[in-house]
Amino acid sequence: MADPELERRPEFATATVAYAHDLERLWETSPGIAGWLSTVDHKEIGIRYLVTAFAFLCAGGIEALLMRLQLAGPDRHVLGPHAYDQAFSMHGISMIFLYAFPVLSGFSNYLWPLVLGSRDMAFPRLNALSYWIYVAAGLFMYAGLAIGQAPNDGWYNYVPYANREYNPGMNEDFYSLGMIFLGISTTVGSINFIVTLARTRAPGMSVNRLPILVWGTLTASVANVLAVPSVSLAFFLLWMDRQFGTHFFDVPQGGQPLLWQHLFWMYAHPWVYALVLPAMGIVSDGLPTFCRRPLVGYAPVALATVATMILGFGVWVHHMFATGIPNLALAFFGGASIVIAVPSAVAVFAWTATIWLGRPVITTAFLFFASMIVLFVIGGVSGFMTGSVPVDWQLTETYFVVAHIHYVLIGINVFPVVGGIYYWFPKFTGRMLDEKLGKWNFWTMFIGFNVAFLPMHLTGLWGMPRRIYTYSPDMGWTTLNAITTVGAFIFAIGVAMLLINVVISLRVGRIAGANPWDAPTLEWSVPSPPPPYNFAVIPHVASRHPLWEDRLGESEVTSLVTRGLLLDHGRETIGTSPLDGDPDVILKMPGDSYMPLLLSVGLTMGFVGLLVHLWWLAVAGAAVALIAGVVWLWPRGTLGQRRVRHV
Amino acid sequence: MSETARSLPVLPVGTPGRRSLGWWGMLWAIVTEGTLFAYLLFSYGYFAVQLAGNWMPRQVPPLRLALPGIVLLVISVPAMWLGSFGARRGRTVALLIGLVLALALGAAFGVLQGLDWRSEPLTLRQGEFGSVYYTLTGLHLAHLAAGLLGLLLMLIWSALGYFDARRHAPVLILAAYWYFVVVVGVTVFVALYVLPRVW
Repeated sequence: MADPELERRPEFATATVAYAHDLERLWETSPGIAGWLSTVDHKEIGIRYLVTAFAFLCAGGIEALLMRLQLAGPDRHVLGPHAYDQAFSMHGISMIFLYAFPVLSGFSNYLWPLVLGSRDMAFPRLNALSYWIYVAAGLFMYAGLAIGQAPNDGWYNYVPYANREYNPGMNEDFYSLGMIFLGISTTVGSINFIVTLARTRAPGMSVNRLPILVWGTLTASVANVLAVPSVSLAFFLLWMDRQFGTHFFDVPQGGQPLLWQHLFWMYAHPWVYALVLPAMGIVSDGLPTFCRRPLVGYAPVALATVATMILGFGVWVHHMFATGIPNLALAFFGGASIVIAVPSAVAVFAWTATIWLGRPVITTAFLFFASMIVLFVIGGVSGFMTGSVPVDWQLTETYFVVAHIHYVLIGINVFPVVGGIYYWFPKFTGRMLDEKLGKWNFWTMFIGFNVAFLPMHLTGLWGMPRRIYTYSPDMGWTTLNAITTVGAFIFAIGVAMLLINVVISLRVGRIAGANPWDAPTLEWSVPSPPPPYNFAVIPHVASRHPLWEDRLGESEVTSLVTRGLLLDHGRETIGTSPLDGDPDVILKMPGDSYMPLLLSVGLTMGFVGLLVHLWWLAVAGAAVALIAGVVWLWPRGTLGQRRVRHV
Repeated sequence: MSETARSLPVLPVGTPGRRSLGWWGMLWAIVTEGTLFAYLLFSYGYFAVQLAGNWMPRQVPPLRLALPGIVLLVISVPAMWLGSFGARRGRTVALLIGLVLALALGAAFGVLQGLDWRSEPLTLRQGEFGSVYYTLTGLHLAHLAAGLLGLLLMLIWSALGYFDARRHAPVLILAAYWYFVVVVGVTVFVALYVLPRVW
């Protein structure tokens, strides 16, 4: 009965050199182009996510700078109205869909198995698929810009502007199909995170010992699973209206334009939280390292994260206060929007208390994390203001709202992300980023950002509507706009400093070692950069801060990182129970595969076919995707998915 | 040997049934696909409320083909259950019979729905109801097609003798998806064929 392919008791010991060598051979990606196209290593995929997201950040940034040049003074002619429409639409799409979320997926992909004490994500091939689709969908939407037909109705794309009658070009078709395409990537990525967290943690890592980092991404992933279908459906219905004459949104036939707004915001409001909660997790994780103490209030912060998201599903109508909805709805959604300040404040107080009670070490990463608290408070207060219905009626569709969203998204996404780069760059590459250039980097970004966006509140209060491509000198907005343009360019120089620092430090940065910051979590227990198998032996976790146990003295049992489970019968990792983290299965992990790439190619063909009405191409794409899927799912003996005949 | 090591039990290896990662992935895939239908049904309800009765076609979709179709689809549930029971017990014959029956019943539903579309006077462009009707039934058919394809693959794999009492996670995963397709089918039937008659 004791067939080791069916069940066995894992060996418990210290890793030997020969054993580590065997693991290296089992887990390494083959060199060259073949390995590059087929790898499923979560670290490689994580880095790709980060690099690609920054490329889209730069593209969206250039679009923003063009808009700022256009608005620097009244009646300028850098961009015409049509080009301006495409610029602000692509800016929003790039930043919100192609940068802000994917960059967080990059961190999570790289870090999750390392902080959880596992060897890969739950579904390594799905992880590769999620990345390839993200790239393909991003390029798909940018292809519209290349032929001068980019989406041009803003990122929230209201009908009836977006109906074919008023927008007959292909602009909206690029957007509609591109978003459905991108939704596949987001969905499979989110499911991967959820199952990874539920099932592939180090033994002993019960729910109360999870690193604080993972709560944000977990919450955002669950939200995505529930919210993404709404926007995919909305864009699908819009595409049907535009191409096949259905009547979901067109008014003359009884279509309901407000249905678009409901479906869009039922998705997009939770999405905004999906863009910030994982970034708040980065701060909750990184800030305490530099304050030399654990985060104050782990449980309240974790619960507040989840509570923010739950409330976040009940506030979408605050984007629609000016649409003439009933008073009861105004009251309910206004109240809910204001209540959401409570869990947000919990996190702010926890971070402040951590700094207050700690002994802060002022590194670049610390500055980015700590400044985020300030920016979050400013963005939070302006959001709280527009949660009040009468104030919103005054301010909606003005630059006040633009200032708000940038304080929230740059403040709570970009600043933590850049801080996270400074924090984990040593782990990613084995080298430190330069601290001196880092300080310049921080202050340039911080000053540039506030010069650009703080005056923008006033621009909005003085009545400047968003999305206008120019204004008259009599409006009194000239000086404020000029200041904002100057700030935007300073901010851009700050971002460039980061890129320069990365390029230089990759070559000549100081060698980091495994744990340069003396940080507490598992990713710092392995070499920098980590070996392909992450952990030679699967660690056993006894507390939230496995590497700080000797000085915290919180628990009697100690975590084990050098001695643990030896798993080397093929690519293996341990599966644990969702709540207690008890080992309950030895999991067989798949190796590198071309199928994720092939499936993405098939889907790309399919979506291009739908876009240009080449139905044969759509069918061919579906066939390619289908073949890739069948090969992918075909049961394999090496993965323990089917019976193996013993000879 | 330390305490931890001694307390470690003998662990199953690979994909043991509901402890397999695929099973967990499928549960969440069902959640997200279920949400998709929920949003579409929300849109349907939204039209019903906003247009207040002025949007139903003169003749609601007939039951002549739809009713037998949905009955066949529901009967596929015990068939699929027989298949997964066979898989869990390692009885290949029960597994094969269950899969063949589920495949035949599911395909019959698909054919009846297709015939229903052809005989239906309603069109895609005929008001909101037409648009919702075809989108909802069409999305369900797409999910059904994925299920039928899965059943076909499962039939091939079972016939090749891939599964036994210890190795059958793919069957359980497909069964979960199939039950989901049936639940959505019944919901769509109630929404489009029953509710318009009750109102």
